Amino acid sequence: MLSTAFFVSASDRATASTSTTSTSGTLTVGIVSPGAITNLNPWLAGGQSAITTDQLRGLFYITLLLQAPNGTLMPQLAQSWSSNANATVYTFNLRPNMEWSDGTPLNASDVVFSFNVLLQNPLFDTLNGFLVASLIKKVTALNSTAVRFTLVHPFSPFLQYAGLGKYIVPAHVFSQVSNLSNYTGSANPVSDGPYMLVNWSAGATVLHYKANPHFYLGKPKIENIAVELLSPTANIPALLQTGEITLAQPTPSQVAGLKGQSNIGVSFSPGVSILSTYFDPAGLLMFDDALYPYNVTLVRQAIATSINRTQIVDLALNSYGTAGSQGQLPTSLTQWIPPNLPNYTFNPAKARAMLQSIGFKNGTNGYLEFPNGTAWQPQIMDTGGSASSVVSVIVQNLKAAGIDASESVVTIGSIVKGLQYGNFDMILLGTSRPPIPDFVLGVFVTNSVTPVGTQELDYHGWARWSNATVWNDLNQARNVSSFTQQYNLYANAQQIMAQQEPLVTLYYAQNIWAYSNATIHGWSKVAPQGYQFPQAPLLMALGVPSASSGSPVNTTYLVIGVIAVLAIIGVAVYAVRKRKG
Amino acid sequence: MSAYGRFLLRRAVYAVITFFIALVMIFIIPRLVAVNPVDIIAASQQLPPSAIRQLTVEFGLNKPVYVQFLLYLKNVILTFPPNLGFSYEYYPISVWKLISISLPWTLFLVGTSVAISAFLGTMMGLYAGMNRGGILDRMMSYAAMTTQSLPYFWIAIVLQILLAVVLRVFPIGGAISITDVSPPYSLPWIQDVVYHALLPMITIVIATTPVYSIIMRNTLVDIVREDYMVAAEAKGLKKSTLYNTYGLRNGILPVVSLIAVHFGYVVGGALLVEIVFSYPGVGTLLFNAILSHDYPLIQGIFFILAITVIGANFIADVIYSYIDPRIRYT
Repeated sequence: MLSTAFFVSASDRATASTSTTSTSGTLTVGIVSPGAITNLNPWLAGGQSAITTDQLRGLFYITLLLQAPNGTLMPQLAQSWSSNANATVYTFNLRPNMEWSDGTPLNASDVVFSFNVLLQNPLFDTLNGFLVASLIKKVTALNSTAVRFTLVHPFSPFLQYAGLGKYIVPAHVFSQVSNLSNYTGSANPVSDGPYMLVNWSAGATVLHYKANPHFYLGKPKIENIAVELLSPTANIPALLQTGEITLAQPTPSQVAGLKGQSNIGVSFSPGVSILSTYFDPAGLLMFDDALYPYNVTLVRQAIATSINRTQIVDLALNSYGTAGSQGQLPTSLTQWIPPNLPNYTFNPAKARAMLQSIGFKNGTNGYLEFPNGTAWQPQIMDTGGSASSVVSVIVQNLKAAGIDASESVVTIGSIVKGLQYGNFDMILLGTSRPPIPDFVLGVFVTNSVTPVGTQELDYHGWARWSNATVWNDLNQARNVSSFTQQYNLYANAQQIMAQQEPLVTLYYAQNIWAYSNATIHGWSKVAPQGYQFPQAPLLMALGVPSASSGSPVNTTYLVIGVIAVLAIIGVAVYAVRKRKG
Repeated sequence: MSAYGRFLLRRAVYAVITFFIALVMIFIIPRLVAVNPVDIIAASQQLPPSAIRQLTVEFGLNKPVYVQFLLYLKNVILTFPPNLGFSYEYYPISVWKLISISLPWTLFLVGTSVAISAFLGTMMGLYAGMNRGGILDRMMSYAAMTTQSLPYFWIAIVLQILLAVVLRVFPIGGAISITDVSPPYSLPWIQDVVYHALLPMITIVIATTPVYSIIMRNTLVDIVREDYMVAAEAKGLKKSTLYNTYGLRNGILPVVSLIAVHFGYVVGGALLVEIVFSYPGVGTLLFNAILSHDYPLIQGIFFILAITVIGANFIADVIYSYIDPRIRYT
């Protein structure tokens, strides 16, 4: 688990604390969003806005289970759960006496309704969270607090997929909605989360929440939360310093400017909280594993040996990340990672020697050539921007190992085309994956490789990498519920993947939060565990802040400024008059 | 048909042709990139092939290109509101919905700013022209040279640092206070919106007012030498009547053109100003759409931009012909 650091103290609030108008009980949060949020339908959210939408919905819709930052499952609406030995029947036992925010009882019928919506609308299932609809044969309420899922076939990650990946919604509200596809959210949704959204309208740039007195853990101590959607270019350090917001996610480059601020605390979390799990933002270097020379294992290993992953983390992520594990799983999943996985320590000389051992020759320009003497000039595709800073490090690394690589900045459409048709050497792919071994290990594994040049719609086949043992291991792991059995199968799959290196996991980026530490109290209780906004354990631990109502006017500077402006105008008038006279 | 009718018809035909060319280009250019929007959505959300096929049908991308074009024409011309497709970034939200949310903010911010600039600039130019060589004339020349040589975004950043971060007179950005819970369109809400718009408005006004004033002033300087002005002055007309009645009406023609040009700017959003102040207008929407390669949204914004610019120029032609009847007969 990645460590977190909070510096909570009632230390100085740098400026104008006496002139601050207190709006006691309001936590002001800035969330970077690609734009306004227009849809809070619990089953629909697209593109990058999905992350923002989930952060906003996560305050008022929650899931059966919650995932701790180390990957373990924790109770949320469900207080216990069980499965049969062959992973085909799962039972969730809800907490007794729960209520929706309008006082209606929250029980098993709500869970059954929530999942039946997915079974009746498969597109809802695919557009948000994990795919479960095709797995479920039937979902039934055993009594008011017990729900049983019977699956079509064994699937051991079902607890994570259904427990973490799907919101439970109020049946008494949504059963009245005639067309769920066109539903874009209510102004005052009925909530099972710690807060209730109030007076929302599509496109609003500020969202207001009130504490939910019916929340199963009790009413949160902070009465109000106001969330402002910030532009990706927003000056987050200035917003925090002036007190306009008290909690936000700065970029790695903005963190440097915050470090000297005694009134601003900075913390780090592993991955981004989406639904009730964490999605680890990872950088992957994809090969076209069906295309020569990347279909040669030793070539992939040599390229992995050429890359200095620590340097990428330091230079491209400002050190806010960790180097990737070659068994694919993020380091937060320690319990699933076997010891002694093959690793590819940065060693350009060794990488060059590896390539020479399979016939690559030294060219006249100092770079390696194919065994037949033709030039080898691989291109690494990316979409520019921050991806370029990663690729530029890789290009330098590869050149040092004798590989005449170059960057090719293309559109996202070209990247997708390249992946679908297999027309690429290497692609830098930014992904966010939940810390669920089945999901991470299986994401780019197929049992049938589509030929290069033929369109592959299924993303599992985009690396064009297939391995019967890995395929069987992952399938077998889905059929057993014992940890030991699953561990052994996943460990074997990781050993093979780390040895075969179908893609290079470059890094896992950290999720950064910064906050005004004089106005937010209680972070130290839960922050070291890695919880983050909008998860209930964090929100329930926070104390009542005394947030600024806006930007207090700095009167000293204001007077100086007005005098300066008047002086400039006076001098100008005098100069013109003198010249005219 | 009268000469004025023929003039208006000719202008209307030009506008329709320009609009059609814009429509065709907006349709063709994204297709030259050869990107299937469903592929982008599928990749970002890791959709299974069954969902990809369902979305392909929903988007009409399984149809031949000429059928897609006819459907596109039908959707944007014969449908109201125009069906501009879905955004990749916000699927399943329509492009029109996103634009309709951002457009009022931009119309308010940039529309108001341009109106203030045009009025202030025209009045200042008129006064400077009437008092050539005076203090205001000289000061305006210096100020105009200074502001014209500074990029918009630089003025915005300086004002933001000075007035929002250091002096804290204005908010740093956004369109509304995070702690404002007053109902939309209530008086406190309107006050808050105006308060947040002031700093970006000041930026735009500082940047654009000198353009209007210089044009007005220079046009007026030429006009005062015209025979009809000399004759009117010799007739004993008061200076204010002379300038306000004869000078302003003739000198305002280039300003009308400039306002028409600025209308495109109104809808396109003062891109950089909106970005600096995190203002949720069309400029910010366009910027984010470009960052995320959201082609349907970019197309939609350009579609609205094209309509506005063509419409504004048509209206400018009409106003022009009203102010200066000679134009109807050229």
